[in-house]
Amino acid sequence: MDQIQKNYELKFEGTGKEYFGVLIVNWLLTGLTLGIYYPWARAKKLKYLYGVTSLDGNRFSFHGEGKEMFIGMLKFFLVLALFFFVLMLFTWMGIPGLGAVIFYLAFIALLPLLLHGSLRYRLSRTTLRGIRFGYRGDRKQLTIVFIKNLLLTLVTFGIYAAWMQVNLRKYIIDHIRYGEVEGRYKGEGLELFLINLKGMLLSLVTLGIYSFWWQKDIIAYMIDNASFHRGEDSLKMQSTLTGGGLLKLTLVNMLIAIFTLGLGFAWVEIRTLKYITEHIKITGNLDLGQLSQTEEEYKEALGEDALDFFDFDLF
Amino acid sequence: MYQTTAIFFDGKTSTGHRVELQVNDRTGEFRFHPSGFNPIIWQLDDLRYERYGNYIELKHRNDSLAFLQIDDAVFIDSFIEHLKRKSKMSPYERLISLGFKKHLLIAVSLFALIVAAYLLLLPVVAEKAVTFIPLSFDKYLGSLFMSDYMNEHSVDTTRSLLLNDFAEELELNNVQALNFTVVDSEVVNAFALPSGDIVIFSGLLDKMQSYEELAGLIGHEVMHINGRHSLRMLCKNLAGYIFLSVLFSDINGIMGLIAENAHNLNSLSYSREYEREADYGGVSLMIQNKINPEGMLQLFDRLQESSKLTVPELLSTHPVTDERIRYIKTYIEEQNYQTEANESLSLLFSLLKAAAEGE
Repeated sequence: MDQIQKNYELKFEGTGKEYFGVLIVNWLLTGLTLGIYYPWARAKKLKYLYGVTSLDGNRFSFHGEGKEMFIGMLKFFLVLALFFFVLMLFTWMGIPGLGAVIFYLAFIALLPLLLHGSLRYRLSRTTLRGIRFGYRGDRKQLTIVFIKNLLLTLVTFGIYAAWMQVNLRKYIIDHIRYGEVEGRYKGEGLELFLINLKGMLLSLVTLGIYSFWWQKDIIAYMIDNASFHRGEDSLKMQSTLTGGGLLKLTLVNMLIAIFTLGLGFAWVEIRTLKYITEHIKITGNLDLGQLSQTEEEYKEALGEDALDFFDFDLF
Repeated sequence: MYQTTAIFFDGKTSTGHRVELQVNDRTGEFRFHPSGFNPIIWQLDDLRYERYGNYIELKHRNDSLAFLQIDDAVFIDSFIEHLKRKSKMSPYERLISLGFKKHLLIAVSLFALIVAAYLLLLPVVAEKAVTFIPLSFDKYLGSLFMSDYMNEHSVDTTRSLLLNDFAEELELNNVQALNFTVVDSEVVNAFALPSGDIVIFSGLLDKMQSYEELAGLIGHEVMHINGRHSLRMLCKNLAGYIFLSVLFSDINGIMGLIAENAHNLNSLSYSREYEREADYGGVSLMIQNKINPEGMLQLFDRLQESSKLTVPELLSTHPVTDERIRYIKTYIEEQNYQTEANESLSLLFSLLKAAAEGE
């Protein structure tokens, strides 16, 4: 095989000033509408962040609409309300303990559903060169993977968490499509566990300073093991982050946040995204200009906002 | 007429087609001809666009995937001008294109508005909310604390009875039934609970030299109960906490931390406000009962003196400061009052002191 390997430039062109404008207008409208605008605001924010990110000169694009996300959020609130109703019902019947157990179990069972919904929605609403991304995972399978890993994590007092993280990520990335391109993840729980063990020990010894290098190792482990394939052709990703770089980023961000009394949060976020995005090196021989539309449109936004409430950021 | 070179993606394949885009700003027609396609004409009215700096994407409203990609600053300026002339800019676009200075101004105004709402509106609303909470809740809240507290401390029954008799002699304008307890402890402290329970430590009783001082202390603590200070404090703190966490949940980190600390400082000022209210109210109660209000000053002088030797717990939450003594003094001077020696109070007070020495 004498295929030519080339570099694909991943670029982040957002600026603090522009992003500050997006966020401030979001705040203003969310405030004026007493919070109802929130899903629209979220759509605008994602549109901006995707729109300033480009791969090989072509920008990503987020097509999600506030209305879809608003309906998704309403559904989520309805489900939550139902949960609380059941909890109250059990309390009223004099068995609040059982009610609480059911409440938490239902909540845990809901998480993979939200994750599934969110992935399907977010990816189907993301395009590059007019071609949709897609998530072809199966809701039932994801739930089984999630619950099984969660139980193992509980039984092992959290030791299995590294495996859970890798297994979930593997399931998700293996089911990502972009046109005819398929995602693949080849991480192993044991490797992440060893990274965490080393990171934890060295961070303790160095009074936390090593935590930036640990963080770098975790991010690199997630990125370096992901690749995208179409037949024999592929794209490989590699993180070029350094611990020192992360340390500097964090320190400067802290100074910005403190000296602007928090108003510099737009710059903090942009600097972070730019730093991480532009330290992903992508190489391969996949021709991004020769793909066709394969993924269907999916407008059901259940989960999209919900996961945001749990501080769960997908991408 | 204005034009540029653009790249067209048809939304079916990922292949980009280089096209010449011609815009007729009179008819609002956007024409281009990708090779292998029929010529395409989009109308300005049907256009959707996304703009990021010197980059713009144009698409037709009926097809969310096909788009034109343009990175020509001159074209973008002409296009925005065109939109403005035809008043086709959405309100959102107009807000976004206000520019950094105006955005900063909006941010600062929003910030000021939030601070104003927090400082001025929120306490008023929270205090108003207290009037809707029944007194039984005060009772419940206080007794929760009281039963726990009593399990860990020993009560001086004899002096508690005497203290209740002492308070019985006073008109305290109370709505709730009051219950006084003397707790055996070296600590120089006293506190009031929303349930109407007032706890005075023997350490504080031992320091007192006259019944006027005790009446002053009782007046002060009863005013905390009459004014429902615990509940008002709780409502204000809770309202403040909810307000801030809803607002800053999205930003977390530094801004949340700053807000939280500011809130803690602010709730300290709430408690100072209530101390002052109780000091004034206590003085008024003394006057109403024809007791010399100077007793309150004597009590505080003594507390301040003793605080030089030991650190009484009273200091941590209700510090006896020179300022506090000064404003009570001024307040007393402003009042018209007559005092009468009260023999039963005097007797009960000496019995209280005697009970301590008898131990």
